[in-house]
Amino acid sequence: MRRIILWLGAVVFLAVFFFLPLSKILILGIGQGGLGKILQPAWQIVIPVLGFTIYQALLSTILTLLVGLPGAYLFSHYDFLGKKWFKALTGVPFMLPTVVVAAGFNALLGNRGLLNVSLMNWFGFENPPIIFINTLGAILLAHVFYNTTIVLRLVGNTWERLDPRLEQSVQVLGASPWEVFKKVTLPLLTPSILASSMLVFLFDFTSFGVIILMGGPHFATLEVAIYIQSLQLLNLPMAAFLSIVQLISTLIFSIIYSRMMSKGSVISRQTVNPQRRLHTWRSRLLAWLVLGFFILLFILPMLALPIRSVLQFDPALGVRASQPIRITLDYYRELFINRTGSIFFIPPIQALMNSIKYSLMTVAISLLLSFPVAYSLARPRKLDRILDPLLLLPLGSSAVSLGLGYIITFNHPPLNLLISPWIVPLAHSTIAMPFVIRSLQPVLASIPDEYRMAASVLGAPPINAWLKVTWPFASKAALASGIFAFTISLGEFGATSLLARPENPTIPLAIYRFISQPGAMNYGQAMAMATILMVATTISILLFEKIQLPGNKVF
Amino acid sequence: MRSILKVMDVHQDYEGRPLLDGISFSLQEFETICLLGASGSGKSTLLRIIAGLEIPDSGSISWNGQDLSTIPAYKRKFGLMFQDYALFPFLTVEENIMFGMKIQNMKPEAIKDRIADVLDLVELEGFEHRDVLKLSGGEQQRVALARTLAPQPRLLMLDEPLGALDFNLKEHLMSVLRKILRSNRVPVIYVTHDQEEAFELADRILIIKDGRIINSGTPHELWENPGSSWTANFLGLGNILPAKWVLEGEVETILGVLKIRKCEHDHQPGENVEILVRPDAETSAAGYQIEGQVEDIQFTKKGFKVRLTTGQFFFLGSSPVLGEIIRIKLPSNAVVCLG
Repeated sequence: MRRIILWLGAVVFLAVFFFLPLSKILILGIGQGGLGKILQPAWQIVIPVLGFTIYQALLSTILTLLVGLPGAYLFSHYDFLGKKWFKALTGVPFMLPTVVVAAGFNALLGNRGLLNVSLMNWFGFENPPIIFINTLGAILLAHVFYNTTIVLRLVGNTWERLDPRLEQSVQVLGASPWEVFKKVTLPLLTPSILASSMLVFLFDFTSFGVIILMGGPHFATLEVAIYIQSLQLLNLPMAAFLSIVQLISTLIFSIIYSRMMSKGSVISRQTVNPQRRLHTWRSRLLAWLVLGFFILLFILPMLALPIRSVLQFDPALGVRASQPIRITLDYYRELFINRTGSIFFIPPIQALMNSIKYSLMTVAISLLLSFPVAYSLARPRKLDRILDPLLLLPLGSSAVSLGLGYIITFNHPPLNLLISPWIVPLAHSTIAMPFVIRSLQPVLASIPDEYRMAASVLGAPPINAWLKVTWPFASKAALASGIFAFTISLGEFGATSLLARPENPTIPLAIYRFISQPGAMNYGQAMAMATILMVATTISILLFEKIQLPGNKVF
Repeated sequence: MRSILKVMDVHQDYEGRPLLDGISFSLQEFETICLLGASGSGKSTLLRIIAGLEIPDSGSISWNGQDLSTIPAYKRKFGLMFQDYALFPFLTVEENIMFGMKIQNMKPEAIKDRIADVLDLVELEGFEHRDVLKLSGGEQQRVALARTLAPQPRLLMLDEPLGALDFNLKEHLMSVLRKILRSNRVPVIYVTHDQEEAFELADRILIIKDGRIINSGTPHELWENPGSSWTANFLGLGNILPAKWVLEGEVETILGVLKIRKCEHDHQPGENVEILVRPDAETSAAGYQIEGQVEDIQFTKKGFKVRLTTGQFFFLGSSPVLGEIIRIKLPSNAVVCLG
C-alpha cells in the first residue's frame, strides 16, 4: 500500500504527460480520414525524409567510429600526462545544449565566424571563403563532436580489460601484429563496437537541434520534418504520422541496442591491464594525431564562442578589410534592450529569465515526483520491478514528438495548458525524470536501514527520523539530481521549440532566433547568449561533479 | 520479582521459511537475559520485533501487561544497540549521543549532564567532539552503547555488541559492559552467538535453535544440566557419547561402566541414552573410572588437554606421555544424562 502511494505521483504524471500525448499522436496519425487516405501522399513525404535520416545517421556513425576507435586504443593502452583531463574533456559535449554547440561551430567556421572573417580581413575576400554552415558536413561534424565519447568509453572500457594472454598466445604461435588484431582483438571488440555504433546511430537518428541549427532548411530528418509539419505547415496529422514512424524506428533501434548490451559479452573482466608509456615513435605519433585532433574538435569551437562574443568586426561585412577588429561588450549590453519594439520581440535577457524560471519549475516537479519513486526503488519489491521499465520509455522517445503530443492533447479544456507557463516545465520534467530517478536511486539504496531504525528506537517519529537521518544523505543526491534536471531543462531545444509561446522564448530559442536572422548585431547577441548558456551549463556540470555522492566506502 | 516483558508465541517467516517458530519468554525486572544461538537463528529479527521495527506474522509482545502491537517503535522507549552500531556518520560523538534526548525535548543543561555521565560510564571522557567515522571499532561500540543508554530506556537490547571486536578488546569491554548492566537498573536482552559472553553476563540464558527456544536457565543450571546433546555441544561442555542404561545411577559406555547422577527422565534398563562426560578430571591410580591410551596432548589455559584413542578428551594437571595408558578419576558430577 505504501509503495503504491510512493509511485502514485510519477505514474499519474507519466500517464497524463507522456502516454496520453503519445496515444493522441497514434490516434491522430492513423485515424485521421482512414489509413488508405493518408498513406498514399504521406509515404511520398515520409520515404525521402526517412531515407535522409538513416543516411546521415549512418555517415555520422561511421565518422564517429573513425575518430573514436584510435582514441579508444590510445586511452586503453597508454598512460600519458593529462590523460584524465583529455578523457573528461571528451565527455563535456554530452551535457552541452545543442544551441551552444551550434553557436560554437558557427563562431569558428560560420560565415561570420572567426576563421572566415579573419581570412576576409587578411586576404580581402569579398565573400566568406569557407562554406560550412548549412552543409551536410556541419551536421556530421557536430554529430562526431557529440558522440565520440560513447565510442571512447564503451570500446575503451572493453579494450583495456581484454585478457592480454589471448593476444600473447597467438603471437607465440607466430602471428603477425596485423593477424593478431584481425583474428583475436577485433572479434573480442566487436560486441562493444556494435553496441556503441548502435547507440551513436540512435542518437544521430533522433538528432534535432544539430540538424535544424547547422543543416539549415535543406536538410530534414524525421524530427525536423515533424517540427516543420506542425509549426510551419500546420499539418498536424502529417506530423503525427511522421512521429509514429519516428517512434517505431527508435523503439526498434532501442530494442536492438538493449539486446546487444544484455548479451553480456561487452565487458569481460574487472581488472584493467597495465598501461604503457609513450616510448616508441609510432605511439607518440598516434598520441599527437589523436590528441591534436581532439583539441581541434572539442576545444576550438568552445573557445571560439566566447571570443567571438566580444569581438566586433567591421559593421558592413565584406565591404572593406581595413576596419580594425575591436573588443567590445556591446553584444552583452544589447541583451537588455528590446530593439525592434514589437510585442514578439522582448529583450533577450527576458529569455534568460524565462529559462531560469522554467528550469527551476522543472527541478521542483521532477524532484517531487522522482523522490518517492527512487525511495521505493532503493529497496525494490515486486511492484517496483513491474513499474521500473515504465520509467525508461520516455528516454527512448523523441522530444519533438513529445512537444507535438502536447500540442494536440492540451489544447482544449479540461487540460488547456498550451497557454500556461507550466507546459514547458512539464515537458522538461518528463524528459528529465528518468535521469533524476536513476541518479537518486543508488544513493538512497546505499543508506543502511539501520540508521532509520536507530532513530526510530531513539524516539524519532517516522517523518522526524526521515528528516534527521535519511535527509542528510538524500539532500546531496537531491542537490546533484536537481542540478542535473536544471541543466537538462536549461538547454532543452526539441520540445521547447514546439511548446514555448513566441512572446516567452527560452534562451536556446532566442539564440536560434537571433542566429538565423541577418545583421552583425543579431549574430553577436546570439554569440553572447550562447556564451552565457555555455558558462551556466559548465558551472552546473562542475557543481554536479563536485558533489561527492556517498559511495559504499562511507558505510 | 515480576515479569515486565512478555513475548508470546511469536512467528515470523523469512522468504517462505519459518525464521521464528513460536518464541515465548518473559523478562523480569532488573534481569539480564542472553539470547544465545548460532548466526542466522533469528535473534536479531526477534530484537527488532520487540523494538517494534518489524511486525511479526503472529504473536504478541506486552510490557507491564500492556499489549504493544499498536505502539510504534518510537513510542516504546526501548533502547536497541545495533550489531554494526549504526552511528550517524554525519554527526559527532556528542550529537549522536544527544539524538534521543533532543527528541524527548530534554533541557540543554540536563542533556549536557547526561552526556557527561554516559561518556564517563563507557570510559570515553573527552570524546564529545570527535568524528564518529574516525573512531576505532571499540570506541564506536562504546559510543553506540552511550547513545542507547543516554535517553534512559526502560528496556535495553544489545545485538551482538562485542561481535566485531578482537579478543583483548572484547575481554576488556565485557567487564565494562558487566559493570554497566549491573549498575543500570533496567532489564536487558543481550543477543550473542558467543557462549562465553552469555555465561559471563547473563542472569538467564535462552538458547535459540531453528526459531525455537530449546533450552533456558541460569548459566549454572545450564552448566549443570544442559538437557540435550545439541546444547551441551553448543556450550562446549565436554564429551558427548552414547551409552546404555544399566540400572539407576549406572551407564555402560565404551569407556566402561560409569556412575551417573540422578536423571529427570525415567529410563528403563537397556535403553540407549546420550551422556555428557565433563573433561575436568585428575589422574589417579586409586578409585579411577576410566582407563585409556593417550593419543594427543595439547597445553591449554585449563591444563593439559589429553585426547584418548577412544576420542574423548580430559583436562589434566600434569602431562602424561604419548601412548601411555592412564587412569582417570572423575568428580562426582562429571557424568550427566542428556536424554
